[in-house]
Amino acid sequence: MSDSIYFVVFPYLAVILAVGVGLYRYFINRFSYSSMSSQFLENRALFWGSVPWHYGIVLILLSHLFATVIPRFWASLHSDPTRMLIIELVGGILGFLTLLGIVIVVLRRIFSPKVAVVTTVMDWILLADLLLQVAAGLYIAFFYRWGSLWYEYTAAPWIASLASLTPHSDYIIPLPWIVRFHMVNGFVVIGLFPFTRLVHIFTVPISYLWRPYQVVMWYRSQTAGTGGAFMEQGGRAGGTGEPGEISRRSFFLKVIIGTLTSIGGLILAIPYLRAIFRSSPPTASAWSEVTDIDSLPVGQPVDLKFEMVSQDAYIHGATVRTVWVIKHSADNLTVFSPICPHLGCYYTWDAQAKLFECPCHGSVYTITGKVIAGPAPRPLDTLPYKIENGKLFVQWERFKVAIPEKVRV
Amino acid sequence: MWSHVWKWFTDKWPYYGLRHLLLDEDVPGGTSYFYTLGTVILVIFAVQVVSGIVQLFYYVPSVDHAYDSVSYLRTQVPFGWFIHNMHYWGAQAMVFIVTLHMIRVYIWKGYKNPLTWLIGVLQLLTVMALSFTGAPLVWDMKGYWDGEVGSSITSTVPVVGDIFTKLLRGGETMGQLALSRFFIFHVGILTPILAALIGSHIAAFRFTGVVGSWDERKNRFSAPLWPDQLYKDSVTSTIVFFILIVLCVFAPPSFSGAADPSNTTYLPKPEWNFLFIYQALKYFHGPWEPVGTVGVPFVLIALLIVLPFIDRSPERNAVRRPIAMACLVVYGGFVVVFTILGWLSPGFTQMPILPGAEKKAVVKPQAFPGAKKGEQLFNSEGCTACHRVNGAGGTLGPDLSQEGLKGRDRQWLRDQIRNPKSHFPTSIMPSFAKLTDDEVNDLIDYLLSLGAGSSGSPSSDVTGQERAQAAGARSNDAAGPGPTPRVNPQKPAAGHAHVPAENLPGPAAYVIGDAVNGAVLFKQQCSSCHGPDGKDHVPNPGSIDGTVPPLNPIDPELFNAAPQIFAENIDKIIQHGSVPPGPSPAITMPAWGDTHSLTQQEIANIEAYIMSLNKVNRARLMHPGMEPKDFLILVVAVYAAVIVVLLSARRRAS
Repeated sequence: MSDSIYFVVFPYLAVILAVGVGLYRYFINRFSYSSMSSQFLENRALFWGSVPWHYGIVLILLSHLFATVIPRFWASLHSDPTRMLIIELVGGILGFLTLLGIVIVVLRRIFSPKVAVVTTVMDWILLADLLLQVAAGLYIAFFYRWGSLWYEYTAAPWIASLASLTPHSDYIIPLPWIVRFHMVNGFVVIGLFPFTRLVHIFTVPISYLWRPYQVVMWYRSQTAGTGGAFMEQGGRAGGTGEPGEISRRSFFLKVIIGTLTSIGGLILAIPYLRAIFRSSPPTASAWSEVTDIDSLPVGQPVDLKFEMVSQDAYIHGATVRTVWVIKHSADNLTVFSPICPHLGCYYTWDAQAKLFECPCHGSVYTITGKVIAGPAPRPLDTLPYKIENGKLFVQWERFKVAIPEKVRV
Repeated sequence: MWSHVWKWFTDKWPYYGLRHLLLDEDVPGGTSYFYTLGTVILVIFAVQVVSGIVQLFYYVPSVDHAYDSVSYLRTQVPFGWFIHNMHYWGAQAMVFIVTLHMIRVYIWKGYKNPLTWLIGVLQLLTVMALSFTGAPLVWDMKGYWDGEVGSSITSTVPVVGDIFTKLLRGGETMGQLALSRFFIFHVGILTPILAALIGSHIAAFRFTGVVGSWDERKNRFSAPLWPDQLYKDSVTSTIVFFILIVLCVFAPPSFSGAADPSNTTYLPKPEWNFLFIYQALKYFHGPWEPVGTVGVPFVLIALLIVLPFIDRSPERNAVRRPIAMACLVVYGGFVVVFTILGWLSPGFTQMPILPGAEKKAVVKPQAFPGAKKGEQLFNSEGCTACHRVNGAGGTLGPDLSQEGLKGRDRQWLRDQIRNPKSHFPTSIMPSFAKLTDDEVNDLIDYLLSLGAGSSGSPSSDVTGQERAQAAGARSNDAAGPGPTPRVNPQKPAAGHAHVPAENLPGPAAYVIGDAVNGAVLFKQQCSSCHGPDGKDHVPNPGSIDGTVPPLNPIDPELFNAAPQIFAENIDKIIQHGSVPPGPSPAITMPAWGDTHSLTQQEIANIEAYIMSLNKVNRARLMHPGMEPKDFLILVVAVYAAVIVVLLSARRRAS
């Protein structure tokens, strides 16, 4: 249910908003169709932010567009390892460029008081969302190696299904959450489009794509204090009125120091964070021998302890586990996990009442595992079992507690 | 909005004041790449702190698991290889660049403020101490012996030596308590001390200002520290950082196998930065030993301390200070030459260097009442013809110097002496069935008394626990008579199913061994049946195959490209032995693990070697995050892109 809201309803809503409000704004308030440049308030940081951002994002968006519109051709480009390496490398570098650009643009709006004044709440929302989107995209590009391959089979058919008004969200539901986030957030950006200065994408003429970089500035001689507000607020260099030449050079040195430091930081931070924020690899659960079938009473639950070979990271050994086994006939059994699905206590069998009872919060189950009282959200969890040569083997598994579905931990 | 938050923050916190203190400084005579080394050290320190903290997410300071936890980090955790290698190479670079930094300051005569220099000397000592306490934390062969030898050396210091060694080890020998202490010294004490020293070093240095160039004419002009000098600092730091990454990719520290004091085939040597002291010690013996262990380091450090008070002439130009430069050459030459000599010299044999071991053999003779008689028998019965003990004797049979550490019980030794073929069917050792029971008992007492860990009573077996405490061995390798996996202490109900131990791999299967040491052990223990390099088809009459199965290439049923599975497959056979199918095979595989003929660490090393014969790397990265070479390509690409963008931007800006 919630999936179809995110992946079907919301995309349509976003596009409708974009077109509807966009057209409304175009006809009612056409002068607001602008990037509302703040270049004359602060130019240097803008140059280092805006130029990488725009070159990066335009090319990256174009590659997304190609991959959506002509997925087969795009996939054939990837079929050769060398071409794929080149595309991945170029994409990675452009991604970094984009990230660098937007970080500088955000910092500029934070630290330059003049620019901060003309920044609206909507600008902050847009910047934050774009930053999230770029970061998520980069994360996917770096940590999911199949990135360029899955696009043809997931995102492209999903968008095609949306465009052809036969929406199928199945294509993308199994993807990792960050990929789904990146996709949905793409539509958030589209939805934000008419409410922000993002509308400047559709301003005409578009000759800015090929005209030289243009510098807007006050018509007066520039001193060190005016332009470098991004990094030079206070301190010695700010406002001492040094000649522009020295100030420009020192600004450039600062940019180099900042760039080298942040690149070095990123090279360390990405692997280090990756090492900490990793999901521990699932351990395949093996079959463990529990007991002889013949020794079990019929129709009577028994709790059986058994030893299983366990692996906990680098520690290998044997662990003792318990299961509840009910023998219906020689080859028909029920094996329950001993863990109450409510909050993980160990329940017991009340032989007189013929009920399973959990002492912690009073959940009560019948011999079939059905909940008849208490807060338990689902029946008792059954475990897979098999019988070989008259011996019972069980596969030990753990499930998430306190939810109605039986999901493996 | 942000400017208001920022203003609120800077009103409450001395951001501008601190920035002024840190950055606003003039460098007389202009900036120089020679001045960048201090910042490089600061950068490496930051790298060490961060990579150290990330390692703590996985590391445990326990003799049972330290080595495995580091192996796990390095092979199973995404980018674990990068984190560990970075910390390793960062440590090497730290020592190296601190040395360069001191030489630079000496040549420029930069100790205008003697306190800055003195704090610097303290920093050097702290860095050396960090380097010394860091290596044993991995608890591999190399680290274990670094710690063992280093702490033994301190015990030779007169008067305070024993106290200091006990402080370092927590007990008599290198064991769990020692590891805990090395850990807390490294992480909890020395690192904060170094951080505080770095802070005071920078403060003292800024307090008196930068000395600048030795050319007074140049000093009339100056350049700002920020950003001009720091720009050069960041360039040098980036180059060093890049070199560290390259080293991480191409020269990872080797897996030298889990610590195993009873493995006598390993030749330990200290870290490169202690080699010169190690070499200097060799020239002092007997009563002169303290001269080497105390005198040499004391003189070296004292010279550094008194330097700024002796060298007080105003002349700073290196060219006009020939005596000072000559002193530098002599001092540096001593360190360099002795380091090279130490590097070239063979590693020390383990026994003589261990003062603790010799003492113990004297301290506790009463534990093995027959040991004295046994020793006489050992010599008179011709055992020394084949077996070496403490450096004397033949080499045909195994060295028995550490026999008491191997965890063998009396029955095993009795069988071995009476009927050697019962354990090793191909053994060439003659049977000593003619000895009386008393004589055999005396011999066993003697054998069990050999080795540093000669605790345990003569009538009972040396248990795994005692052995582990005595020798610092990994107790999981020594648990009980067989390699049963550790069992949850929870008392199992009667009649519950056990996992049969004989079907299971032993602890060695989960330890990343050292193939180099494995090759040595293989040559000693395995090659007589499996052939050199596991290649020959040694005849085995009475078996269906007719020959002993070769190991290179190995039986395809045992082979697996995944190192963990491969190790488990061959481990079952090495631990529990096997009898080849056939009517009466002449040669059977002994149960090396179950009989304690080899320690678990040795088995792990042999497994690594057998796997390397079959082109499988035991230490293969299972979850690298990104393959090291791919990562390097990416790093190079990012740096190339950044440099291109910066260069073109500079052109545009100028």
